[in-house]
Amino acid sequence: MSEFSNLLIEYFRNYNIWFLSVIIILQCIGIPTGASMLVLASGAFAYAGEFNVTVLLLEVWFFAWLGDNIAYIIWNYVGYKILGRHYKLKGYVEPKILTAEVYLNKYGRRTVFLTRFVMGAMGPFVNAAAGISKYKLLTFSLFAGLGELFWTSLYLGLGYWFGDSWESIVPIVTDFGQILTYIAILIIILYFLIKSIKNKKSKS
Amino acid sequence: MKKNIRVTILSIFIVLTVFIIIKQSTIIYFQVKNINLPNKESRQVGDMSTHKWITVKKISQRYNISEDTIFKTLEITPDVGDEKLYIKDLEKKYNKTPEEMKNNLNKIIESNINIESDINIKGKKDE
Repeated sequence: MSEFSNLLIEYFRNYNIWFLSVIIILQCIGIPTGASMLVLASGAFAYAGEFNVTVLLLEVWFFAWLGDNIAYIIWNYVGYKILGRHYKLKGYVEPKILTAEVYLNKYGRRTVFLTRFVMGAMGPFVNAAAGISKYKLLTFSLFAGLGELFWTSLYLGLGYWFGDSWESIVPIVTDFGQILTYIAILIIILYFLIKSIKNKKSKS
Repeated sequence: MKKNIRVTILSIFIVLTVFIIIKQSTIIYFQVKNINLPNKESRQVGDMSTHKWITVKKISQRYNISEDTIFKTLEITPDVGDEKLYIKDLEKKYNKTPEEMKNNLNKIIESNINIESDINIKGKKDE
């Protein structure tokens, strides 16, 4: 366990769910805070009798869902304000927002749902894209809530299952998350490569 | 020419990413292979991952045992306020090894389990 992880747990022990809620919300906004590790730990503390596991599950789920919605709203309002002030940036980003809008209208539900727990690292980017492209808030909120329920159950459940040995599962969970992120990166690079090759062929 | 450079750079990135994914997958494979699945004992007092973050005061409340008895089992003569220190901090303060603390904590938890099962048996007999 790193010093940072120890510090997180120390604060969590002192401020319980309130600290955890702040960490989860910040992670949803896009600041990496180690929320997954902390939720895993909280599951283990619930097994040790420190929390009621059902209440904890509902609390973590609620704050994760709230964090996603806050991220959406921030990007919805602030994103457009920033673009309104910087015309050069607006000219560059606007076509991309349109692409995101088309994509989200087509695959929005499954993208929002899956990026909550399978491709967790992509979650904040999807929140930003959904907010800026003005994707339907109700649909976003519903599928984010559904995805977060899986995320919460997965991490809390793992912590609860491993109990006092929860630290032994942390490296696996972290490495697995990293692999999924690398796979997402690979898919993005492949997309650009195929696009480049197609452009090259059409021009020649 | 510019397009060719772009395709080459992207191809290099793909090779690198695939290499990293294979490397990480191998690491995870061995980690999963070596992990001990949790059982009742390891969940209760395993690597002390949770218990090192619990204070004597909390243990006393949870198992309904006096703080003095817990300190006695932990082989510690406490100072004022030690009941509010985490087990990991007590370990450092009194130069105890994690193994010693784990064994002593196990004694507390096992005695509590025995007491609870005795109560259950007595209750069933009374019925």
